[in-house]
Amino acid sequence: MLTLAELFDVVRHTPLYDSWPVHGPNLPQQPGDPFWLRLPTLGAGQLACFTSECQDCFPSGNRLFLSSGTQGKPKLMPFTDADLQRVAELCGRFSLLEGIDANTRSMVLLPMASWTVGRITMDGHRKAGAQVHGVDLHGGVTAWQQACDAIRPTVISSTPSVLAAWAPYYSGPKLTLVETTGESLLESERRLIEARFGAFVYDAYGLTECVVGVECAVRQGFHYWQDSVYVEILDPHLDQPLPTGAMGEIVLTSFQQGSLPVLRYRSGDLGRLAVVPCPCGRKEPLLYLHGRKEPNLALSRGVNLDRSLLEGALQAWGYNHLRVVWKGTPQSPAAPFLVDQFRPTLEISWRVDANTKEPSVLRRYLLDQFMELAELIHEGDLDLVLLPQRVGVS
Amino acid sequence: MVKSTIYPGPTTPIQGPVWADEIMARMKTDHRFANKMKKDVCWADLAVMSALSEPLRWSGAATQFGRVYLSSGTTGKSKRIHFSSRDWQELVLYRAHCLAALGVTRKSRAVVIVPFSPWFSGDNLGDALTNLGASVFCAGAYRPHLSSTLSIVHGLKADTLITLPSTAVALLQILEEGRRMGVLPQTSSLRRVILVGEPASFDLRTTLETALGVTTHMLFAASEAVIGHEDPVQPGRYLWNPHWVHLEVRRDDGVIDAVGEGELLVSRRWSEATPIVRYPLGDRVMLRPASKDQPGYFSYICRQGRACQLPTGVTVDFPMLERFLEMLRPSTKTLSVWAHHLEGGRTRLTLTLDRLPSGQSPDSLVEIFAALSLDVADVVASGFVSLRVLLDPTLGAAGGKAIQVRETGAW
Repeated sequence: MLTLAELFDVVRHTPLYDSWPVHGPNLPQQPGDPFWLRLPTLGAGQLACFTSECQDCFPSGNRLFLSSGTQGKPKLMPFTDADLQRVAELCGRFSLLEGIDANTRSMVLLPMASWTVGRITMDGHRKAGAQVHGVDLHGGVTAWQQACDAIRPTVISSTPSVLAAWAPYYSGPKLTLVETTGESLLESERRLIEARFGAFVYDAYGLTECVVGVECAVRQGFHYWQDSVYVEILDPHLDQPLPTGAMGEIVLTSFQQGSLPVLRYRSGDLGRLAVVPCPCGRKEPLLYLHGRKEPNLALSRGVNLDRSLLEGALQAWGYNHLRVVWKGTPQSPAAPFLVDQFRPTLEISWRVDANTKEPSVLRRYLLDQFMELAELIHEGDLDLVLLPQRVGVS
Repeated sequence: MVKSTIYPGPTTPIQGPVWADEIMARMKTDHRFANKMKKDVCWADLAVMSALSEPLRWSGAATQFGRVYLSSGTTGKSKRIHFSSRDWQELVLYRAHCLAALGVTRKSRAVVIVPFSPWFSGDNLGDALTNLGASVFCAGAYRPHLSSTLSIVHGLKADTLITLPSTAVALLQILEEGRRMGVLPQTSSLRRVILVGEPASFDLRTTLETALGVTTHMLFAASEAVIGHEDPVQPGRYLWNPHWVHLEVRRDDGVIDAVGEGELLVSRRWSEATPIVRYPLGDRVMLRPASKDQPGYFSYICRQGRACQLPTGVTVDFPMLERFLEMLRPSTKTLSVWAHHLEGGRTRLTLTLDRLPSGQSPDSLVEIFAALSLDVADVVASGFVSLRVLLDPTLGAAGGKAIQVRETGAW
C-alpha cells in the first residue's frame, strides 16, 4: 500500500488538488492529526467534474473503469497496474478472512469489463490461491445456472440482487460460502440467499473510488485495514469529525490508488465506527454501514418519502434501534437481466424490546401513516420488509 | 491428448521449433505424459492433439495457478483452458508484441470492445495494452451498452479500437444514427481499428475505413493460443513470432508439414497448465516458408474442423454428421460439409458425398439431414440456411478423413 508521504507526493501533482493546502511544508504526519483536519473533503461532484474534463489527458499506462453512478453520473476512474495490484492485495485479504483458499474453486459472476468490481474480485480470489472462473453477467438466470453446472464452484461471488434473482432457481452445487459485493445487501436478501444457496453470505463494502472492508463470521459490520484505507465519520453537512461511535457520513482516504489519488472522499453513505472490539477477536477496526445519506427515499413512480419523517414516526412508537434501507432497481449492468426479478424494497429492521410490537401491527401503522407507501405496496411497485431482530441492530 | 505413437503415413523430415527440446524435456518429466511417451520420442513423432478432448487440469502448486477461460467451442466443444502465471505472462507479452507490430504504442489510447470472462480475448487484450503502457478502457461486447461506449471512445479521444467484426457492424450502425441525430461528431479521433475473434470480409474493412477514416488490421488468436498478427504492409498475410509459437499444417492426406496448405497446427512454447502441442485450431491456411528477405507468413483460407456454425447460433456438430454418414453407409464413405456465410446473415450449406445410397436422391437426403436436428430444420425452414446435397465421385480418393467440415465467408 502507499504510505502517507507517497500519497501526498502524488496528491501534490494531481490538478484535482491544486487548490488544497498540500503544497506547503505543513503536511499531515498521520491521518487525523491537526494538519489533516485542515484539509477539505472531496465531493462526488468535484471528482466527476474533474474526471469528465480530464478524460483525454490521463497519463499513459492507465486502465480506465466506470464508477457505478450511485452519486450522479458514472465517473471514469484511472488505475495503473500498480494500483490494481494494491487493490487486489486488499481483496486477497478479504478472501482469506472469508475462508477462500487454495482448495476453493470460485465463480465470480460480476460485470467484467467496464467496472472494477469483477476484475478486483477475481484478482483477490487468485491472491488467496483459489481457482477462479469469471463469468460476465450477460445471459440471465438460465445462463448463470448452466455456467455454474459446468464450473461446479465451491464459492460464488456476485451482487445481492443477482443472487436474489437466481436463488429461487438455484440447483446446486453445495457451496462453502457466498460473497456479495457491488451494491448494498438487504437483510431479507441475505436470508433468501443463505436459505437457497445453503451457505453463509459474506458481504464486502467498497466503491470504485475506494475499496473498504469485509464482514467477518459475526457479520455485523465491515473490518477494514488501516494501511489501505483511512475511514473518518464526519458531519454530513460539515467537514467536522464526529465522536467515535456517532453516526455520520463515511469519508474515505485510499492508500491503494496513485494514478488518481482519493483523499477525504465523501462516500454518500452513512455509518459509524465500532467502539468495542468485534466478538470475532480480529484487531482490524469495524465499520457499521447504515445506508445512503439522502434525506429523501426516492421510491418508485417518482414518490419521495422523507426519511426523517419515517424514522421520527417509528421512534415515536418506541422503535429506537432501527435501520431503514431503501433499495431501488439495480442500475446497469445487471439491470437487463433482473427485469421482473427484482422489486424495489424498503426494509426496516429493529431490535426487539418491550416497547416494540409485532410486524403486522407495525405494518398497519405504517400504511395508515404513509398513504403513498400503502399505494405503492398495493400496486405491487414496492415491497415493504419488516424484520424484528433479537441482536444486530445497534 | 498427445500420444507417443508415431504419426501414420509417410513422414517427411520435420524441422521442429528451436525450443522443441525444451518442450519435449518438460513433457517427459510431466507425469500426465510421461507414462504415455516412449523414452526416445522426438518432435517429429508427436501426434496431433485432439481438439475435442477436455484439456488436462492444472497439476502444479496453487500459488502458480494463473487463470482459466472457456474456449469458444468453434472446434466442436467449449473447453476449459488453464494458464499458469508464467503461461499468462508470456501470452500477454506476445499479444503486446503483436499489438506493437500494428502500431500501438505507450502513447496510444485504446478502447477494447470484446467479450470478457469467461472468454479469453478481453482480459488478454486489456493486460497486453497495459503492458505496452497504453491507456485502456475495456468494455464488454454487449449490444445495449455500445452506444454509451461509443461516447466514451469520443470523450477519451481514443486512437485505437479493438473489437469483433460483428460488433464493428453494430458500432457502425450506432455511429451513423448518432451522426444523423447530431449526438456523435462527424469526425473520429480513431486512427486504427484492430479486429479479433472472427474473420472479417474486405467489404467490412473498407466500410470501416471509409466511415471512420482509419486503417484496419487483424489479430489471429484462439483461447488456446495467440497465433500472430496481420502484416501491416501486406493485408491478408499473417506473421507470427517463433519465439512464442510454432506453426505447422496437417495436409489433407494427414501428413504434417512446415509449409503448404492444410489445417493449422499450433504449438505454444509456454503452456504449462494446458499443454498446447500440435493443436488443431480448425483453420485452413497456406503456410509459406521464411526466406532470406522476409519471415514466414500464412494466409487464412477458411475454417476447417469438426463442426460449423449456422445463423442464430445453431451448430452442426460432429456427432450429427457421424450419424448422418452412418445412415448412408455402406454406399457413402466420405462426406464433405461446406458452410458458406453470405451477406445478409444467410448461409449456404453444401453437403458433398462420394456416392449416393441406392434409392436416394439429393433432395431426399436434404430432408433426411434437416430432420436429424430440430435446430437445423428450423433455420432451414426459416430461410436462414439454404441446404443442398451434391455428388463428387473423386471425393476421398486421396485418402484422409471420412468427414471434412469447412466454413468460409464472414458474417
